[in-house]
Formats: sequence, structure tokens, C-alpha cells
Amino acid sequence: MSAMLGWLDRNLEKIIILTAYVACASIVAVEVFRRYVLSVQAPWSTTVPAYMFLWLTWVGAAYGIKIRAHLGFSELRSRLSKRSQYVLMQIDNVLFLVLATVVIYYASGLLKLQFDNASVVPGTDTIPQWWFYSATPVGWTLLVFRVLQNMYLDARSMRRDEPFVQPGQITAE
Amino acid sequence: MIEFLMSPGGIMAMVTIVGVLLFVLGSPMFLVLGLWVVMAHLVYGFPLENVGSSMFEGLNSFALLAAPLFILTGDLIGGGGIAKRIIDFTLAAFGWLRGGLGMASITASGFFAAISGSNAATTATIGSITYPAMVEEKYGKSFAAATAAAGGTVGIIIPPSILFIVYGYLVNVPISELFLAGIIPGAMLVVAMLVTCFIVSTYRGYGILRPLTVRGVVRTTPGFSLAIFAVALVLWGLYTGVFSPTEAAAVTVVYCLLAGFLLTRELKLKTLPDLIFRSGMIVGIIMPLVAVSLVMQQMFAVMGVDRAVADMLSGLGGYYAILAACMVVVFVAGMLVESVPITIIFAPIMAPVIVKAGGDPFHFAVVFVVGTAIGFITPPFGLNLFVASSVSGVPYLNIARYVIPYLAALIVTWIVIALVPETATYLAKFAGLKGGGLRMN
Repeated sequence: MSAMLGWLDRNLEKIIILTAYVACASIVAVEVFRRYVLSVQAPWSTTVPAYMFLWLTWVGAAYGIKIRAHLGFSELRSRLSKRSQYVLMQIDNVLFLVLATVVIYYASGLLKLQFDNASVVPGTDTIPQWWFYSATPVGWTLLVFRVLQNMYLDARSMRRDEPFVQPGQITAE
Repeated sequence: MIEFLMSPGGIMAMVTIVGVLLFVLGSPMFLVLGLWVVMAHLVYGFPLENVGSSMFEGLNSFALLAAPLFILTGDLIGGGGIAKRIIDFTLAAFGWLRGGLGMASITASGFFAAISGSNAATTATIGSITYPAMVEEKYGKSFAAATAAAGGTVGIIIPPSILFIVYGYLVNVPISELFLAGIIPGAMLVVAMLVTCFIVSTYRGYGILRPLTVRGVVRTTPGFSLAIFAVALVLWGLYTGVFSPTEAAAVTVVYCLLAGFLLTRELKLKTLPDLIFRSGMIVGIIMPLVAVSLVMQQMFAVMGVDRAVADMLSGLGGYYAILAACMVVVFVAGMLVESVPITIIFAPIMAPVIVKAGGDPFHFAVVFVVGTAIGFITPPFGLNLFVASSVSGVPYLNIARYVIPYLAALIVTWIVIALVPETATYLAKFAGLKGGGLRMN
């Protein structure tokens, strides 16, 4: 059980991001080919890739929290005392929770509306639109989870007097 | 005074001050902008449902989709070994000059930029290959890292470009024509940096001189032509109208995959997911910023900040005064904030004022985006400096100091581009596009 949770912790965003990215790129590429060579194009081929892109964005945002890669100005903070750094980090975390609550609450309202109206994806007859629009609330919920995880990790580093988790560097490899 | 502080404008002024404070103390830009947006809704009594829906609808665009795809092409040509082949070629071409490796790095950045769309990716990919080699040739670590950071600035000028995509989406000018407008200015910036690198390297005696051989150039040409083919494919597709920028991006992705698997054989099925995932992480950093900045821009319109700034700019009088003011604003903002929020917040305000004053919309787009590109190497917030620092391990501020000669060269070139609109409009005229029209993409 805990092995499975650990695996999910490491790979959940990765799986969603890979699926969404590959789906998005393949649909566009295949449709260019079909239009150019076969002169046909699926009517949903411009909407669904954009929806996939939304999944990619918000799940990616959650992962950005996990690896602490969201862009910011770190020069000053890194020179402060450990205690002040800790306080600022936890303030960030709390503020992220506030922002996420607002977004999730109001994005879910929109989702409920689509659900109640049984809206379908433009260009299709049956695919419910809320499948795709749930990208915002789901992504942000995942983000909340990652923020809570960071709060716990930061508190633990502080208590045990260990160094804080360092921001991940996605661009350096 | 108290009356002002209690007015919506006064409250938002205080919110802004707190936001700036948080940012200076290291809170992520995405968080600060997001909170500012929520406060603006509350203060102005604008329904918060707007925030909920904009986080989806703001990004729900087929045109914008080109951005993540052109981020992916960067990682694919890096992982597929095409980036390395570009460097092999540019080194064969420049290695005989003093500072040749640095110049090869800058030129390679230019070609990399012609396939991928982001500055940070250009710096990271090219820098991670050329930095160790430059250090080995005794370039000085800080200068080597600064060269990678500066070279990366053309990532968003030479098409494709994420920023042109965002700009076109926002200001409603055709993205493909913006791409075209960026080619000559991008090349000018590359040349300016090459000259800088040559002068600095000659002065300091950096690097070793390699003999120029026809064999060296010929040997590296086939690998290099893989990159040139990708560039040609995009340009051909865009300007014959076979595909839109987004489709061009997807086609380039497919091409990079094929070239990486079949021709260079450096792409492996096993490592491909990691490459894609890395692009995904970058999308997860950039696009949330786009989403919150879009709502921020909306709120500026609601609050009337839009009109106030536009009036102030038009009040300056002539075209050149307005253009200069815009450039100063973009430059100063670029020192403090990431390029995406700057573009989203200022471009829709400035572009109409400039066009009304007689400016060319494509030329202004280029001037604007070059300004934000320079912001990538201006401290305190210079993204390429951060990336170069993380690639090289050289402290951020050392790179900031050694990047100054490049910065000067880029600024001078920027001013030339601003004064000579033909740098941006010539190719469009040459290609027979009229330009200036407000068409949907």
C-alpha cells in the first residue's frame, strides 16, 4: 500500500503530463497529415488538443510546486536567517492554499454548470465537456496536496534542524 | 489621504505594495500575481467566477498550443543530438578565430532558437554542451556562463518564439508574420554578440585557435543540415499556408522524433518520456504565469489602468517619444519580472497607442519582444542568468557582471532595430505579405 502511494507520489503528475503532451502533439500532427494528404480533418481536432494542453498546464503547475521550481526572486531570501526563511516559506504555502481554494471553488461551479447542462465538446456529439474542464479543479487540487506536503517537509526540516529542500532545477541536467 | 486609501484604487495600491514586498522576499511570481488578481476582483466587486473560468478559458486556444509544442522541440533536438551537431558545425566554421568556441556557442544558440521557442531552453541546452568545453579552453568560467546566458536571448526573437505566440494571441496580429519579422533582428543580435565575443576574447586571449579546414566544415555539414531542414520545413509550411504555427510546431516535433530515432539514432525510447516530461515541467511553470497574467490584464482594463497608461503614453507627443517611453518601461520591467507577464500586461496597452501614433504593429512587436529578451540577462531578475548559473555552478552575480559587454551590444542593436523599422518589415514585404492588417490566426 505504502509502496503504491510512494510510486504515485513520484509518478502521478508524470503520467498525466506525458499522456496529455503526447495526445496533444499526436492529434495535431496526425490531423495536419490527414488534411494535407487525405483532405479530411476531424472537427474536434482543434479543441481537444487545447484541452490536453490545459491538463498539461495545471498538472505541471502542481509538479512545479513539488519540485519548488516556480519562478521567483531568490537572491534576498537565501541571505536571510533560517528562521526567517522558514516563516516566509510557510507564508507562501498558506497563500497558495488561499489562492487554490478560490480557484477550485469557482472552477468547480463552472464544471457543475457544464455537468448539469450536459455540454459536449464542440465537434463531437457525445463527449462531455466537463471531462476536460475538470483540468482546472483537479490540477489545483493536486497543487493543494503538493503545498501541504511541502508544509510538512519544511516544518520537519526546521524541527530537525536539517537544511531545507532545495528548489529543483528542471533546466539543468 | 485616508479617503484615497479607502478608495478601490487606494486599496489596490496597498495590495500592490504588499505584493511587491512578497516578491522581493522571494515569493513565486505566479503566487503573487494570482493573489493580486483575486484581491482586485474583491475590491472592485468583480465576480470571482471570472477567476475560476479564466484559468481554463484564458489558455483554451489552438494558437497558444504552439508554445508547448515549440518547447518540446527544444528538448527533442537536445536529446536527439541535433543540438550537438549544430555546435560541431559552428565550431568548424568559427574555430579558427580568437574566441571561436564562444562564437560557435552564440551561433549555435541562434540555430537552436530557429527550431525551439524559448530563451531558457536555448541557454540550458547550448550552455550545457559549450560551457564545459569553454572552461577547458581557459575562457574563464564567468565569461563562459555569460556567453551561454547572452546567446540564449535570441531564443524568443528568432522564430519560432513563445513570446511572439503569446503576443500575437493577445494583440491579435498574425503569429506567422511576427515570426517573419523576427528573423533579421534576431540575426542582427547574433552578429552583435559575435563581435562582442570576438573583442572580449581577443583582449583577454581566451580560447585556442584551430586551423580552418574544408574537411572539418564538410564533415559536420550533414549533421548540421538536419537542423537546417527543420528550420526550412517550418518556414516553408508557414509561408505557403500549408500549416498554421501550431501545426508547424507539431510537424517539427514529428520531424525531430524521426531525425532523432532514425538519423542520429541518439533518441531512445527509454529516455524519451524523460525528455517530454522535462518540457512538461517548463510548460507547468510558464503557462500558469500566462493564465494569471491574462486575468491581471483584464483587471487593469476594469480598473481603468489601461486607459490611464495609454493616455499618459499618447500625451508624450510624437511617435519616437512614445516608442522610447515604451522601451524604457519594457527594459525596467524586464529587470524585475519574467517576460510573459510583461508581454501580457503591457503589449495590449502599448501596441494600439503606437499604431495610432503611426507605428507599424509588426515592427513594434519586434521592438517589444527584443526588449523583453534583453530582460533575460538583466539582474535582479534575469532568467537566463539563473539558468546559466544552474548549468555552470558559477554564482549568479558573477555571471551578471561578465554579461555586461553582451548586454551593451544587445542594447545598442535594440536601439538600431527600433530606429529602423525595415529590419522587421523588410522580409514581410519581400515575401509579398501586406502586413498591418488585424487578422485572426
